[in-house]
Amino acid sequence: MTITIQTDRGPLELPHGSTVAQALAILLNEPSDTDAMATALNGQFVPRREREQVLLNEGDTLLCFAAITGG
Amino acid sequence: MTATADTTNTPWQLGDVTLHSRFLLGTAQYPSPQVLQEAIEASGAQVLTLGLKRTLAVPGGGDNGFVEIIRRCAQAQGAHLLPNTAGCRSAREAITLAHMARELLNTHWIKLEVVGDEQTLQPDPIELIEAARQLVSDGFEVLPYCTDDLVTCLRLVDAGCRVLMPWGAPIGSGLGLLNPWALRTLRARLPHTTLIVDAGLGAPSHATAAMELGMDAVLLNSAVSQSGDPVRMARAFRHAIEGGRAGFEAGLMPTCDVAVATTPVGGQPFVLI
Repeated sequence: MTITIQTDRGPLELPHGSTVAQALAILLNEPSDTDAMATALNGQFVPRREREQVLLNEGDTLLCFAAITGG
Repeated sequence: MTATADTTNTPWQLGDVTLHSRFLLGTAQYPSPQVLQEAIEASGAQVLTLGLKRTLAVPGGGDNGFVEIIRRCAQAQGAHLLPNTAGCRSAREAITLAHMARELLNTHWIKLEVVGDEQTLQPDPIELIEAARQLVSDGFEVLPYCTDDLVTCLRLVDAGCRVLMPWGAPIGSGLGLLNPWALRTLRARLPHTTLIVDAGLGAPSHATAAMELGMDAVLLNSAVSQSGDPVRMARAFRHAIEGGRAGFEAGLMPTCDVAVATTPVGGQPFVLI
């Protein structure tokens, strides 16, 4: 059984019971990139320490943010 | 040479931190990482602003080394990073972004931006105050980007903000101080609140004027990054800010609507008294 979540790289199909950390492992090119990204699930911040525990559900939106230049 | 050793400014407090430079510099829209680095060094700034972005949305959406330069400059110059919540339109968005910034950049400082109008990028006071209240209770040092409206500023202080960043003019406009009276009023009514003029400055003279009003510091970006020579302009603003502050501390002379003779000639030189 699978679920589909929405990401900036399009829909992502995952096994039921997948976590934020497992989704990030697929989305990011390098494992080290996970420390350079902050995550939000359905608009709510997911701290780095909780990514292994937070489960994803059908239709969730997972977004990744990085630091950029700014004024 | 560090900014601290190279400045004539008297120390001031930003939150719990003592700074010497009163120049907060934005890091966006520079022509290259090298120019940004040189502009930061020339500015002597001890606070550098950053933003957050969904970089996965853009293929190859990296920053071309700008953020690494900022981090290195900050370390070398003893500067602090100040992330912003640019792009947010609601308190909820800004709160989420602030928490992400704290995790990414390891700072509890946040430049709180909540835009309420697309044309002027004027802050939304309702959402701003709501976000400020929540973030202060979450342990942030909140630096809200606000207008110069006195009542909004009072409410932000009520929400727990120790620092306010009223605009001089709309972001990126370069128009300078549109309402010096309002800023002077803020200074008079909030003598114990740190006031940083943020946005709208276009020329070094604008920064001098802000400092002469008794503002504690200025934050700017476009006036430097969009200059023909950002490094030279950063240096110009540095001197302008230091000059304005020195003038404020020295005390400006009282103004007068009529002429007051300065040379003590004792009347007209060829007229017998």
